[in-house]
Amino acid sequence: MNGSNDFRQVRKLLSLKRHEQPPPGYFDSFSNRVIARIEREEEIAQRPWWDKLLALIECNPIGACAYGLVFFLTVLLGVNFYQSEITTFSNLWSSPSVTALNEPGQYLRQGRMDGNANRASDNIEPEYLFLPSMDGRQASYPRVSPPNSNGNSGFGGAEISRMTFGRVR
Amino acid sequence: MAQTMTAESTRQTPEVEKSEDPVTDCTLVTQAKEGNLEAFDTLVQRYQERIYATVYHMTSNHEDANDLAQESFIKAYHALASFKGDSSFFTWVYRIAVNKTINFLKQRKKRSFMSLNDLDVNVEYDPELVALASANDPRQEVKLEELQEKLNAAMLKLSEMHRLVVTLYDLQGLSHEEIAKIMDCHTGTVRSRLFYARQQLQAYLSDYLK
Repeated sequence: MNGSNDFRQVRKLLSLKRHEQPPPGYFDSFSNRVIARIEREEEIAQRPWWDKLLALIECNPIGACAYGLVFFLTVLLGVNFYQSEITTFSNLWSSPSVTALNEPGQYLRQGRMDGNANRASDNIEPEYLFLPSMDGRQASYPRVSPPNSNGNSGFGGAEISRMTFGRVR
Repeated sequence: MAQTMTAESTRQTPEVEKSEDPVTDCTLVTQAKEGNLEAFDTLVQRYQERIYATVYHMTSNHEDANDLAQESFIKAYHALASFKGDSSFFTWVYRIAVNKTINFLKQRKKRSFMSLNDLDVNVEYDPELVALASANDPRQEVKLEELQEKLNAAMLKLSEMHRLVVTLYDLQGLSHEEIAKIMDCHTGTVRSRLFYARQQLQAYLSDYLK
């Protein structure tokens, strides 16, 4: 068959590749290089983690630099984000409306008990109403005297102004 | 040297080597599994030329072949615990080298360049090759090197699987059955790939074939 004859020629040509030889003496030290690499890997595996890290940096300094840069940028971004969050909270905290919330009994002292009063909480976004730093304070009320003969409830302005918010003990 | 022998004479040589050697592969593998590096060193020496040659013929690059052959043996050493002995150590280590090489070739696809080994002096005493290369050209040596380059370029044009079959059958002298075990496929697949690969090579090298 003509095809198989041609293949014989291809195979003859391919036999040229069997004459390609590595540099003289290449195989004399090949197994030594393999064993040396295995021993080195085993030695590295027994080292503590920081030593392994140093070995890794020695082997691939460019890769190590790249990882280091990414880590540094991540930390920088994290710190930046954290600081911006702190600033937002402190700005909010120092705003007049929140300050008003912090001062015990302010509204009551101002006599704003009616429903139409401009309360501090009206100016604040709902999510900021329950800040974690707001400690649990409970209002304490003065003892209400029984109604007098004039029909007054005894819950007058003067008494209201004495109302304070105090920590429960 | 094993590599300069003809393909027919070297076919299934590893099995012969294994039976003739006083210490079998199996014994050496058992010792190497227990951490005996000297035993593994013997195994490396036994197959280094074949593994290197296979990888070299696949990559046509000495430096890549050097790295891949070393890494294949290192991987084999670390994976010895998983070697159950279902196949011969030779087949198993070949499979590791072949998989490693194919993965490497897939990654470097766009930057393939040749770093060819020199032809040994025996090539000048091969009358068939000289006749094929010289073709009335007085500059015989130059012509052989040119032919070597063309041949390697043609090999690189084949797909990895076709190149592998040609390498294992025509250059390494393995049998179809052994190649099927290494490539984890049927012998029919090996035969058809071999036929197609040779056909391709014939087309690429038509100028050099009479």
